[in-house]
Amino acid sequence: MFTAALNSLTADHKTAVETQLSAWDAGTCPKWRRVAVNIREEVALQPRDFTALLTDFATELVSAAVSPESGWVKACRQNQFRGAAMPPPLPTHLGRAVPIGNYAAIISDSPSVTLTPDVCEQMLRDIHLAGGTPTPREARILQQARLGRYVMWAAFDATHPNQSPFDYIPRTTDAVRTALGLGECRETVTFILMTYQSTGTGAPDPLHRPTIGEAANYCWYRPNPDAAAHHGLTEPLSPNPLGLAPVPEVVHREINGDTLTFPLYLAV
Amino acid sequence: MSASAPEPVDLGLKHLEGQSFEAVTTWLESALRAQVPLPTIVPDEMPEAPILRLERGLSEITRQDLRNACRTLVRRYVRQPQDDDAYIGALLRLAKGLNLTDLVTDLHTLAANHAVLSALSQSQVKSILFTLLDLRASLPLAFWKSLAASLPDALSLIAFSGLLRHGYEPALQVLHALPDKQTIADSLYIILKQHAKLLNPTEVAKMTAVARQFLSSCKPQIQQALQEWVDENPAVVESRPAAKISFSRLLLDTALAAYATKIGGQPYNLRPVSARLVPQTLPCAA
Repeated sequence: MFTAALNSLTADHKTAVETQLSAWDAGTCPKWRRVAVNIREEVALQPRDFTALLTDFATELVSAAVSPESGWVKACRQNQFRGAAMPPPLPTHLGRAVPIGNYAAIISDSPSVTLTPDVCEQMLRDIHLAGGTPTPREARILQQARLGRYVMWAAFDATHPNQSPFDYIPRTTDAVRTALGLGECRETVTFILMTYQSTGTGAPDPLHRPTIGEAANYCWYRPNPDAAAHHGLTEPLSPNPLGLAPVPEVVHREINGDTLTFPLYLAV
Repeated sequence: MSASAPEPVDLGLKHLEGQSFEAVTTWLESALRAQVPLPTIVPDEMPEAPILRLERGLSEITRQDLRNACRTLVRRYVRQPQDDDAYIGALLRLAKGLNLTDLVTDLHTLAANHAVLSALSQSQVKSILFTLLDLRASLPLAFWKSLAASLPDALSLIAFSGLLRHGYEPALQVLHALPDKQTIADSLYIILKQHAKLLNPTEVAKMTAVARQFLSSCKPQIQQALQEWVDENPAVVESRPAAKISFSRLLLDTALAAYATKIGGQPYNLRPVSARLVPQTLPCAA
């Protein structure tokens, strides 16, 4: 797919893209080497969408207004949600693992909330200490706040699509980072494990198969090699002593927490 | 998909080492505008988070440059407060994360200028005031009182939080002005709950007693949240009598004597109860 898209570019654009990918291949940064591999291995984009993404990237490269890395990120932002929309039956429950400080900042940043990030983080910890089920007031705050920003990545359990994916992953930072392939995550990170429903008012619609367009410079993304699949797959990190299986993943647009389910878990 | 050997983790912020201050500042601004790639834990992590996570691994001089770059960008914004909401949010959360308490003066100057503050987006007003609160800035009571009177309804609770730093009485006095909204009431309850945790039981009891006096002046939703908090906190702290300690010198002496015998050392000499008050005989100088 990559080759077909590359070949459909103008000669200048094709050269610019090939040269940049080769530079990443030969560079010292393993992260950008991996991004270059991901671009070549992506099979979830329609040919015209792949061409559009590479054209935008080449345009950035040729203009040289920003660094090639920033140019790639910029091009990706213009080409998000191009992966196929997931057809029914949808998994009813989706899950997200978010560092607690980040979720607190997202809640605090939500228009309906007037609590500082520190207060929001303390609230999340209080909920956890109380067993994970918020009081009605806490629940309303969480439901009216955003669940994520811009592009939201969500996981689900293919075998038990009506349950939280975190019901089948040990709720520890190590297990969560391993299963979801979160390679930048240190063991000291505290995650909030949130589960929300994919149906009902405020639910995400549609769910898309993720592509390099959403991943951009996130080098821990792995293109699902199955072109016909309706979702992506994480690549568990080594050494994976528990033998955790790859987790199906989708992306969707920003939503509020209307369909959040409780309890809310912390992974430490 | 099969698990592969982990690739080396990102290069972090090491590329900033040896860069000029101007280059660090330019990079920081682009990073906070999400225009340059950052090593995020999850793809949609906020841009300041990886910077805060990784800056500790930099050399002291680069860390200092990063802090000064953050100061420069905040001061640039204070001088000309017009910018993108997401960028300002990230910049001020970074300033808070780096604990740049000296910026309190700058942000206070900005926030105290009603004409400028009222022209900013609600998101930026929130970011500025949240930073002042989370940096634990000690700002004048008059500043928060003035904000309580001027902030739009949706943000009025921020002034309440600021007033609470000066004690519960000035804060409770503005409760009657809070809008009758569920979202405000829910947040008020959380603020009161967390504040009470910082107080000792006697102070909580006093605050509860004072809060009761303000109940009737609050609008229904606010009143309900306050009532809920009052009900959960006892207004009276039971005074506990000091514990009585029964002490028998005789029993202690007996036990010490038995112990001395057991270890076979010097025999324990019983002394009168007031022995410690008896002047010791000093050895005579030769």
